[in-house]
Amino acid sequence: MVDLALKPAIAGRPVRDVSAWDRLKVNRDWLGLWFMLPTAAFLLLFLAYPLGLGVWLSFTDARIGRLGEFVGLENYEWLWDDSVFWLSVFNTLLYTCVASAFKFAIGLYLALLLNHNMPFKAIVRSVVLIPFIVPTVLSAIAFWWIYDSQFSIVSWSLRKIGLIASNIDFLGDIWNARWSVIFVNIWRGVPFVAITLLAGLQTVSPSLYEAATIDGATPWHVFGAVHLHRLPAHLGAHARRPRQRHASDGDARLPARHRRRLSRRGLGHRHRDDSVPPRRHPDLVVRTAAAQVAARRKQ
Amino acid sequence: MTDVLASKVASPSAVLSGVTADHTEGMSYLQTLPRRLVTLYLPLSVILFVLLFPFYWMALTAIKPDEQLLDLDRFNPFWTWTPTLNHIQQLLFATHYPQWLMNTMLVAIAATILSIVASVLAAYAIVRLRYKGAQWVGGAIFLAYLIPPSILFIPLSTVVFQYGLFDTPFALILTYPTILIPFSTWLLMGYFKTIPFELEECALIDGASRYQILTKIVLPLAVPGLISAFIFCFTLCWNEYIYALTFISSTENKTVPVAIVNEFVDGDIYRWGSLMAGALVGSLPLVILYAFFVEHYVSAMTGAVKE
Repeated sequence: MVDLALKPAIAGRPVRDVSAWDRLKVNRDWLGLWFMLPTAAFLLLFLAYPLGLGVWLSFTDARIGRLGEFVGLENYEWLWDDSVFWLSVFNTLLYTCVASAFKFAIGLYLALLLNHNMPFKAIVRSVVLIPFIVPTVLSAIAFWWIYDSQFSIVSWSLRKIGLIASNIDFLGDIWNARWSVIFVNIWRGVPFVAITLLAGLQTVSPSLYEAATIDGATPWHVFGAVHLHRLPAHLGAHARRPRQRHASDGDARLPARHRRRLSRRGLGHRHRDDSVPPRRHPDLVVRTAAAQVAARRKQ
Repeated sequence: MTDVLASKVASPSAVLSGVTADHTEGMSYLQTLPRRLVTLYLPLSVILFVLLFPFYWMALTAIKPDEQLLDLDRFNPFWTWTPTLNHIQQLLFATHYPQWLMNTMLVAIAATILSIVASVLAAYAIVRLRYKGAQWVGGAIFLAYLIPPSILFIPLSTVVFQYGLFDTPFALILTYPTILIPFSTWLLMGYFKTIPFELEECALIDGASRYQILTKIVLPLAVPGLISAFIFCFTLCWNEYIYALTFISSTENKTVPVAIVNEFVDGDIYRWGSLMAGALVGSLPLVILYAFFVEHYVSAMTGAVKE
C-alpha cells in the first residue's frame, strides 16, 4: 500500500527548452538598449556631436568656408586679452546673481501672499503665471516698447507726476540698461518661483497654523519655525536639523525644559482678552508641529 | 492626526484652489480687515499690476491708431476712444502671418510628439527596466538639459547644413528634441515612479512583454503626466528663438517669434502698432492652451517638488 503513495501521481512531462533568444528577449539590458535608442539617437546626433565639434573648433583657426588647423590655446589667449569679453563676463555674473536673488525673494513673498485664503484665489493664482507662459521674445518686444527712449509710458508717468524732468534713456545708458534687463528677467521669473514655492507651502495643513496660533504664535514665528524649515527641502537640499532628534517620538520624549515650562504655566490658557491670542512664547506647539513636519519629510 | 498634518505632495488642483485635506479656512478670521488690506491685498495688487501691465499695454497699443501712439501729450496714453483694427488687419492679411503660424504649429507639434515618444521609452527604461548603468544615463540626460542652446547653435548649424536640412522645417523638428527630451524624460520618470510596481508584476507573471506593459498598463495610468509633458514641451517649442533664427532664412519658413521681430522693423523705423499686434496674436494660442490646462502646467512645474 505504501508504494502507491510513493509512485509519482503525474506522468513525466518534457522539460521545456528555453532558447538563448527567449532569454535575450526578457534580458533587461537588451531591452534597455532598444528602449533608449530613439533618445540616444537624438541626443548623440544633435547634442553630443555638435558639442564635441564646438570644443574642437575652439582649438582651431577655422573661418567660414574654410576648415582650420589645430592652433592650441591661441583663441583662448585672444579671448583673455579682450576687454569686451571681460565686460560680458561681468554682465553675466551681475545678471545671474542679482536676478536670482530678487527672483527668489519676491517669489517667496508672492507665494506667502498667495497662500492666504482670499476671494478669487484660484483665478489670481492662475493669472499670476501668465508672464511665464507668454513666449519670451514676445514679452521682450512689449518691454522694448515700454523702454523706448521717446515714448515710454514709464517716463511719461514719472514726468506727469513730477518726479523727473526729461525722459529716461532705459536702454542707452550703461547702468540703466543693466537694471532694465535685470528687471525684465525678474518679471519673468517671479511667477515660476512663486508657484513652485506655493505648491510646497500648500502641503502644510492649516491645522498646524491653528495649533500654533492657539499657543500664541505670530505670523513671523510661524514663518521662522515652519516655513524656513521646509524651504531647503523645496530648494532641493535635505536639511539636517537638531530637532529631528525628537521627531520620531512626538510628545513622549520632550526635553526637560519643555516639560518644566508646561507644568509652570499650567495646562490651560489664560486669555487677558478673548479677541487677541495670548502673546506668549509659542515654543512648544510650533516646535512639535515643525518636528512632525520634518518627520514626514524624512520618511 | 499625523496623517492630516502634512501630505507629501500638493496636487495641482489643491495648489490652485487651496482646498486642503481637512477643509479648514485658515486663521484669516483673526486678522481685522484693515490689517488684511495693508498686509495682503495692497502688496498683492501692486505685484499683480506690475506683472500684468505689460500685457495691457501690449493689447492697448495693438488697437490704438498710429497718431495716438506717438503723440503722448494730446492723447491720454492709458486709454483710447477710437480703437482701430488696422494693425491686426495688416498683420493678418498684408504679411505672411498665417503661414508663419502654420509653420510654428507644425514644428511645435511634430517636435513635441517625437520628444514624447522618445522620452516615454527612455523614462520607462530608466525607472522600471533599470538596465546596467541606468542611473548614469539618467544623470547624463539631466546634464544634457543644462547645456544652453547658445553654446550649441554654431556647430549645430554646420551639422544641419551637412545633413542638408538647412532652411527646412525639419531642421527645427529634429533639433528641438535635444531641448525637450531631457526635460520630459525627467518629468515622466517622476510620474512613472508613482505607478505601483505590483501592477507590472502581475502583468509579468501573466506573460506580458515589457512593451505590452508599457502600452497597455503604464501609459493609460500616466495620461496626466503625458498631457503635462506635452503642454510644457509645446510651450518650450513656441518659446525657442535661437535655433529658429539660425537655421531658417527664407520668409516662408520662419516661425512666429523670429518673423515678427524681423518683419516690422524697417531699419530704424519701428512699426509699434503692428509689432504689438503681432506679439499679442502670437501669445494668444499659448494663453488659450494655458487657460484650459492650468492644472497640468502647475503639475509639470512642481513635478520636482515630489522628488
